[in-house]
Amino acid sequence: MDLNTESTKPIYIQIAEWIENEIIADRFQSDGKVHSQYQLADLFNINPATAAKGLTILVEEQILYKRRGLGMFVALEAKNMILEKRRNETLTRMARELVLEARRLSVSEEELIQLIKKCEEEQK
Amino acid sequence: MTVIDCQDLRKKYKRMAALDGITFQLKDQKITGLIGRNGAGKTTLLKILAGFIRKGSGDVLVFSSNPFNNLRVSGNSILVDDQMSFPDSLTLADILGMAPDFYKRWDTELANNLFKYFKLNPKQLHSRLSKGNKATFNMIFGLATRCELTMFDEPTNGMDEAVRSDFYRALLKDYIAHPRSIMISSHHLAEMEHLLEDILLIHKGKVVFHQSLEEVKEYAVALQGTTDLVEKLAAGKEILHTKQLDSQRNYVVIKKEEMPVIDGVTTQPVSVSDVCMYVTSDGKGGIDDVFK
Amino acid sequence: MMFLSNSTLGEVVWTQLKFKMNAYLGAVVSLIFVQIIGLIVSMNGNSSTGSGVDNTSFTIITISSDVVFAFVGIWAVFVGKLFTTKAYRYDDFSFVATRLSSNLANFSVLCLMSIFAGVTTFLSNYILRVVLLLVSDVDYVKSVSIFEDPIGTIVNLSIMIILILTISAGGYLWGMLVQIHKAFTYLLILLIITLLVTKTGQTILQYVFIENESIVFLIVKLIALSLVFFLLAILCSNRLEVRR
Repeated sequence: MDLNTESTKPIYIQIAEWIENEIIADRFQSDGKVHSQYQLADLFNINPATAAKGLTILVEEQILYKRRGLGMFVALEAKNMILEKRRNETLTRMARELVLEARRLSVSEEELIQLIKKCEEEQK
Repeated sequence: MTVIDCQDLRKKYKRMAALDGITFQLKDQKITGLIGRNGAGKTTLLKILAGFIRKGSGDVLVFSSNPFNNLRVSGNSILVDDQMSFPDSLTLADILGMAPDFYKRWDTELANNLFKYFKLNPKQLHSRLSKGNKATFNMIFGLATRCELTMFDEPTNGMDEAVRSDFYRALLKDYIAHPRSIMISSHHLAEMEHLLEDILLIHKGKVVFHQSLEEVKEYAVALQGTTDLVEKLAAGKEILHTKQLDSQRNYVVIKKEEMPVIDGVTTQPVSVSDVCMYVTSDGKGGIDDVFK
Repeated sequence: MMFLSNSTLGEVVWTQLKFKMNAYLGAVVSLIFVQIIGLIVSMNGNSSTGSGVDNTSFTIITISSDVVFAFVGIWAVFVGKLFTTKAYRYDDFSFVATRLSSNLANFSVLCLMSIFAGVTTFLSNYILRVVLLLVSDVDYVKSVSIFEDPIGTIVNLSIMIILILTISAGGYLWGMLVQIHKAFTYLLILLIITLLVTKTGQTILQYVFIENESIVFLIVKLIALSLVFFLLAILCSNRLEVRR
């Protein structure tokens, strides 16, 4: 499996996001075990310490929890927490970038809202 | 546990200082990239750590002992480089057959499997191998020793691209199965960056920094935009590199700190190998300045 | 957790010795080659002609393995020197080794090779006799055989072996000195000339080889000399660095 090594995003964040994606897609179930740092390292061809960092982030966010000697498990509310977080963080960030780009291109606020609505129509 | 402890380590060749006060410690079970320009002192450092050459002044401890003439260090460490040599009377198969007598943790299965995978000829003599195959054999030998301190000095020199990526993969997989302290010096930082946990950057015989890879990734930031704006933003900061892009815009790399967002200046991350290159360049300019 | 393996010096030297006996087989091959040349040169022998009572003439050919031994001596010097060359020293450090273990292993190899060289040189005398019987029209070969004087034979053999060891240890020290500085290449030649030409040199040689109250004393002197050569070589090798 490949990571985007050229990306501005640190690898460990990409690892954390990959696990989150797997949780959203129900490939890692609540209270189910997720990959260990070594499995992740093997899977993504990265240093195990980097993989561990990705896991640690998710433990800190309480998306994963640790069971001594057994490994990392998915928290009960993990999926909702991720969705909530993504809505808050990712969408806000993307909206901010969108507004910035619109201003650079002299697109008015109204035009921008029209554009979003149009995209919304297309996806239906 | 500390595997390597260097304090103000110095080494001179004739009057040239190859190591000019190296101080760092290496904790066990990490993969560390030893990075530096040509002549930075990487090879000298590795040879001292392996006990091949004597230290000048300062202190060097490997497994808590001076590595020079130390049996415990020799038995638990290996330095793989392109100067490794084996007797001409022994075939590659003979060499692999004798290694377990010397290295108590030698992994015969790994050695044989890698040997077959890379299609080496067991009846060949080491000195008759092509540059690439010699590097491959040395790498197999180094990995199979399972030494607690395994050092590679430019291991991929001469290997083709496919073998190089196989080597990195083999190294990682074997490290995951048997964690140990691994040090690799290489010019190809970008292609092995994913393997590394730490980076030890040396320049002119001194340590520039010894940090985790993620810290190095955050070490610098590049500002790109119209010259006056970029210059205003970079004023008073530690400038690592500047490049004039065209008559109106330039590109400045500074040490990372909190920065206001300014319209007309984009901030970009700087890759680990670029950071290492900029930090160890003597002038602020680059090759472009030569042609001005 | 770190897993450090601990090998004793003895274990490493033993492993190196096994490795070297495999790797340095070429030196044994060259020994046999040198002995054959020595034998061929010896075939001429020193002959003297005389005539007997009944107008019969006879020829006495005196042969000895001295020539073979001289060749083996030269071989021993160069084998000792060979072991100190860069290629040989570097090979050791591709495996587990310290300068001390390498030196001890080299010395052990030289001992084993000296025994082999001594025994084969000694036996070459017998080969010489057999060949003479077969090739030339010699009617009678008289010699002291091992069965007539077993103790004398063993003593002679031991002296031969120890002498070869001393010579190779000298070559080993010479090689180490050359590794430190090229100028030492000429030292040996200079030394030999001085020993042969000057009075003090001759006195020294006389003291070592001739003025011996007993053969045991000679053996002790030769062993001591070998050890001194060898210890000096260890001191030299500690100055040398690997893969510089």
